[in-house]
Amino acid sequence: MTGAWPFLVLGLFLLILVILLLERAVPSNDDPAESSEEGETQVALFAESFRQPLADRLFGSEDWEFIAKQESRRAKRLFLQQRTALALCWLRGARTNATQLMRVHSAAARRNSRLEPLVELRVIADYVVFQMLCRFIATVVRLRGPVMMRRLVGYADGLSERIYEVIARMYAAQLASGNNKRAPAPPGAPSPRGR
Amino acid sequence: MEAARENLNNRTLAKIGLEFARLIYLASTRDYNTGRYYHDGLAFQFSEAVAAQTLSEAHKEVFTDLALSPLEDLVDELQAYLRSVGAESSEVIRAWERLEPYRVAVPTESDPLTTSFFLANVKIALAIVESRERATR
Repeated sequence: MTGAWPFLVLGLFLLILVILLLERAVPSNDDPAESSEEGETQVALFAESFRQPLADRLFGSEDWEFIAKQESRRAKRLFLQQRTALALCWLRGARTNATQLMRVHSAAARRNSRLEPLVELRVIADYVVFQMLCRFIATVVRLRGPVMMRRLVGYADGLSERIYEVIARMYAAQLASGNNKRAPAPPGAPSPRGR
Repeated sequence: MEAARENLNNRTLAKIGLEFARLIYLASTRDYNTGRYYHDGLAFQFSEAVAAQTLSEAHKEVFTDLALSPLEDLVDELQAYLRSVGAESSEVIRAWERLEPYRVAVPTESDPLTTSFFLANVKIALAIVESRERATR
């Protein structure tokens, strides 16, 4: 029984973390029209936010290998300073975008009568892991610069893509059903629930 | 639109050998006050709006290519460009470090992080070019 205590504490900690993160992700604005518009923009922004070529350059080793061969100390110092600042900025942007996307998702989920608990749990788990991974990467970047972090960033990028795909799919379905509710269906048209 | 792009590529950009010089050229076709692009030849053949749109797109494309290119390539491009200017290299480098004229080469609608990345890379590239030039003196 004593062996189970660390797992219980860890489980409780994760539960509290999820609740806190979700509370932060819940929007204060409940106007559906406004949040729908905002949501559409956020989903689109999120899709734009993970530009792989830039992440590859920022966190890859190619430029560092080139810089390491240079004699200029000033260039090396500048490289580390600038790349660290940019990498932290990239990570901050990625985390902010993910939080905004979760806000959109929370608003959409509250209006959705056909929620899938397993999908919801997966989105929450991916979001929590993504946030923790971004924090971890930021700490490592602060300590030793952004070089050679491409694999971890790639993993975080994969998580963010998964979150985006699930939410975009849900959001598109909700927008479609919202449009169907707003515009009266023509006679004989199949009901959205029947699909 | 495509014809205008082809025209710009074949008649103007193809004659400019360096990617960095192409970037500076395209930025120079933009009015600093309004942000609009002008090109008499293109406007005459197509229309002012098509010319402006073509130049704007070409500018963004060249900028993104250069901004995301390996640092080594950017250093080579910058070194070749600074040598092609015709003035004493050290003098040009000093002016570039102090005045940062390359900032005007950034397209208006470019993404802020890519812009910061490009500006940081140019700074680093300048430091490398300067040390190379010092070593050859």
